[in-house]
Order: sequence, then C-alpha cells, then structure tokens
Amino acid sequence: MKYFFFSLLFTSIVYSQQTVIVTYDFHTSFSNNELKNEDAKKLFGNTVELANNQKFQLSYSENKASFKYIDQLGLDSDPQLLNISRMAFTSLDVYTNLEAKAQITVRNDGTLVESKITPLDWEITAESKNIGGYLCYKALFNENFIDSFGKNRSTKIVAWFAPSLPFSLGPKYFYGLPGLILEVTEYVNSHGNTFLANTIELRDKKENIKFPNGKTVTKEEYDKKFQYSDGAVLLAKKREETKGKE
Amino acid sequence: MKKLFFTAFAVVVFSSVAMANSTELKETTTLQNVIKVVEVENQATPCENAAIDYYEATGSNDPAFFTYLIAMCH
Repeated sequence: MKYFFFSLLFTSIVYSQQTVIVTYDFHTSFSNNELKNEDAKKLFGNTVELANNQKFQLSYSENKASFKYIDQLGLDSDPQLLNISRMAFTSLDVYTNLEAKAQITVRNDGTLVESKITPLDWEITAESKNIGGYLCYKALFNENFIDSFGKNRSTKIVAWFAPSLPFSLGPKYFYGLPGLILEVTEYVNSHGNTFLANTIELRDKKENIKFPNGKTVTKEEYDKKFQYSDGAVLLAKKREETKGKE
Repeated sequence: MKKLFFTAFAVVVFSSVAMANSTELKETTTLQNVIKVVEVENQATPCENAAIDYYEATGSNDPAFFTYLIAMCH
C-alpha cells in the first residue's frame, strides 16, 4: 500500500513538471434527415461534413491549458460554414487557467468571454475501456439548462478519463476528473458529438501556454448584446408559438 | 334674438360633435394601419425560417450563434 501511494505521488510530481499535447478528432452522429426545410437541410449536411473533418489540440502546462482548432492545409472551407460548424457541433477556442479558476472562450467575432470554473458534478463509474493503450474509466454528468425556446433541457455528458495521465482536463470546457479525458461525448437531442484523442505527446519541459490578449466580458454581458437583436425577436415569437401549441 | 343665439349655439355644438367623431375615426384608422405594418415586419422570411429550423435541429442554446445565423439572411 505504501509503495502504491509513493508511486502515485511520484507520478504526480513527475507529470506536474511536464507538458501534454493531445490532438482530438471529432465525430457527430447528427444527420440532416430530420429537417424538412430544404435550405436548412443543405446547410446542415454541409456543416456536419465539415465538423467531422475538424481536429483540435489540447495543450496543458503549469495549470494552464488551451483547446484550439487546428487549421488544416487542404481543408478548403467557407469561413462562414466553418464558424457555423464550430458553434453548432465542435468547439470555439477555449483557454483554461486552473489556478485562477477561469476559462476564456474566443467568440467568432473576436470577443473574449470569461467564465468562472465551477465544479462539475461528475459521477465516476467502474466501467472501463482501453483508449490508445491507456486504461480509461467512464464518468457521467448532466448539464441542465433552459433553452432559447424556454424549455427545460438536459445534455448528457459521457467522458472516458485515464488516471495514469493525471491532468484534470479535456476537450472544450470539460475538466475536474482525476485523469486526462481521452474521449468525451455530449448527447444533444439524442445525437452524440464526440471528441476522441488521436495523438498524445508528453514533453519533459514546461511550456508557456499563451492566452489571448484583450479585455474580457462575462457570458451574461455578452449574451445581453443579443437581447434585442432581430434574432431575439424571432426567437421570442417562436417561443410564443411553441407555448400556444402546448 | 334668443332664437338666433340658440341657433348659433346649436350649430357650433353640432359641428364640434361632428368633427370630434371624424377625428376619432381617423385616429383609429391610422392606429390600425400601424399595427398591420408591425405584424408584417415580424414575419420571418424564408431564409430566417431556415435559420430557425437549423438552430433548433442542432439543439444549441447560444443566442450569439442564432443571431449569427439570422444575420446571414440580411
């Protein structure tokens, strides 16, 4: 037992001096079959295809991390479609500072939106599987919220983390498990959006994770900008129609 | 004299009532026209309807994203 705890402590100390770089592939089970509007169907199909070809990189060193889209040569895409696919399915760039307990998301208009990290209510299970040679355990949590149409909704998150890689981070804003998240799926409308680790690189030396410069705003301040936009008016109208039908 | 005064008074009163009614009618008509214009402006265009369908299908809860989709229609 003493040897086990010493090994765990030694591993933690060793890894705390290191940098880890992980690339993730993305896959969504969404398809455009359920849409009736032809224009929406076409856009949906194009953005799903684009999303399924996107890659992201998680870099972590000294309690700071970045999760960024990897611009791939040869992946020719309309910037608008790319923005839509990232907002709809994959992810915007996210920077995490575990010491300051803060995360910054870089919005498509360049605004830096800062939010405080609050503990995620993970349920760790005994279920395990192997990902890339690493033993991973399953963890779950439900994210409850009220959607833009005023409905109570819940997104189920399923993550697989590797205790042998003691970095409490993962793709997007997911963190707080006792190991690096190598796979995570968000279930939205019974469809799954999954990030899966493709390559994992451990480096002995510390690296400086560069955060974006500029003034940050809170999520509440940022969302308030859109409170009286054309979109908000249409959403409000749609909300009334939905309530009327119920 | 009394009859003349009474007649003049009646004419004035009658005219005031007649004008008030016609003014009220005009105001009502104008207000109705304004309401009709506002209702037409709040109808979603085909492009906006497509944006709404797309947004709803993704299950997203991001008002900035929805605004981005709608802005593509303008």
